[in-house]
Amino acid sequence: MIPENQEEPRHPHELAHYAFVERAMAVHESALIRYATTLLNDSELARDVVQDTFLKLCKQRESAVRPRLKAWLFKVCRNRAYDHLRKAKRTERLDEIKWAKFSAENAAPDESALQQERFERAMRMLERLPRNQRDVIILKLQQGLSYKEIRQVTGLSEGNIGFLLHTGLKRLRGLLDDAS
Amino acid sequence: MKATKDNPAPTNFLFEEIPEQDRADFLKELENNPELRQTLEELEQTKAFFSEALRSPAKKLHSAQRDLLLNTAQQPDRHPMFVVFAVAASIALFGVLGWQFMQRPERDTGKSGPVLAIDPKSDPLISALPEQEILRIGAKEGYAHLPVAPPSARALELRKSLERDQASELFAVCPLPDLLNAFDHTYEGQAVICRFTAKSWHPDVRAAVTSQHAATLAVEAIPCPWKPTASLVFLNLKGGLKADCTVLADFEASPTVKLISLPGFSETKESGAAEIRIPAGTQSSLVIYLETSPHSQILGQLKWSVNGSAAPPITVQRKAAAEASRDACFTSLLCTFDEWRANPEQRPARAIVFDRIANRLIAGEGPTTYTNAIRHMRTVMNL
Repeated sequence: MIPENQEEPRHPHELAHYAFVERAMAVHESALIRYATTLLNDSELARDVVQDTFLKLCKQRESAVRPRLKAWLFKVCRNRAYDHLRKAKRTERLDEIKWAKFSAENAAPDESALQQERFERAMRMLERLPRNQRDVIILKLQQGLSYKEIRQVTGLSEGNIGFLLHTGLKRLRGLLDDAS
Repeated sequence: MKATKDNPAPTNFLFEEIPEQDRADFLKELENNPELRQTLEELEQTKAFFSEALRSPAKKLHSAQRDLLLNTAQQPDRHPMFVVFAVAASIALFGVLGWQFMQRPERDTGKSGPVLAIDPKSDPLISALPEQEILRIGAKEGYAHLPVAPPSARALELRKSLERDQASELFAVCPLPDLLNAFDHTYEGQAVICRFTAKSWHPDVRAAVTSQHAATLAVEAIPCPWKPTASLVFLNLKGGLKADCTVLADFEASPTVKLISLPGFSETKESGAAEIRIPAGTQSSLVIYLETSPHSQILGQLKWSVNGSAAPPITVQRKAAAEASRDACFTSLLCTFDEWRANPEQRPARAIVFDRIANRLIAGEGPTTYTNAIRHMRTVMNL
């Protein structure tokens, strides 16, 4: 789609770059918004973060990011989201009311109350994990990234990622058992 | 493989990330170790619960955000070497131009100069004119609520007639706010963009007619062409591309300001502190006239909010006349024209100032609507 009031790109490399960004947006836009929303608890702010991520992509040379595009996008998105959190001093634990509000904002109209309740429970439990465990669990379970991609996003070693996932999942299992 | 509580092998196996050489060992251990099977089963259940629970409806960027990104993506991908080459070429070009400039026997101060604005202090003809105070209406001491308003039907009609280059009698009768809103202005002073959520802000570097975001406020302040010690502050508010926004704007003058006035507004038309709705796809411009202490550069602060959220204030700083943008020069021309209409006894003096600015604008590149407007205004002024 060419935006209104804009001339068509004129050179082949401009067309290629345009197509590259458009394709990246089509493939990763929703996943990045979902990820940023989970980190920020604010879907509008998440959109701003994802917009910044793609703006940065626009300025990159395609050849520099294409081989690891997915991990690159998640890394930039994650860094931007944490920048926002640091600036807003929103590192406090998210309480029940916040997550209730969040899930109400994010629930599809036809989504069941059970799903909302499950989401709230999951987020409350994740909040009880250390940040690095929470990070890898969200990237793995919500986004389906491989260990290699998580390494590229977080800078952690693959051995450490496996350990953090393992201990995080075991802790979550314990919390699930306690809750039930 | 030794199955211990902290060994991540079950998790690695679960996510198919276990090294191939360990896989056979793990499967063998799994066969013989019921505790490990229990652990793996629990991990699998936990994974299933959280994978499902973290699912949320797919969301997309707003269409205006997508448009902005795709606009940006159309810009060519600059290779670092290209940038280096461009900088080197620019330095060389400026060097040659500078050398040629230095070789000229006398500086040409006529129409072809790069500076569009007139500098009242250095223009001997204008500086000899008696200073006349602008109509002091519509402002309060030290503080002014800004009656930013969407373009009126009259302004839109004037805009259409200019685009079609039709003679318009509206120039003789349109109040200054309508004259201003008949044009799209891009001011090159300070600017702030309000994004959708009004939570993040960054400078405006775009020349679009409307804002891709909720609103964009751009400001430029230059010396008043007919009174060098005074300043004209030009404001341009770009509304959202696809959504209306409500705006509340106030100007808080610095202590050096002695007088604030809103040209074109009467006392009864002052807006008070009411929020104004700016319809999607429109923009609005406004002028503030200020008299300050000599050499005062910081004129005050613009405090504004969009959709009920406070925006960062903009500090208004006066530029030199020579640094004025083309659109700021054109706005100063409209103000001069309005002054000519409002002060019959000062018309000869205002006509001289008008002519100087108009000649510079015509000599430079600009939209045809500017040229058409200048012609119509000259007709009204019998120039």
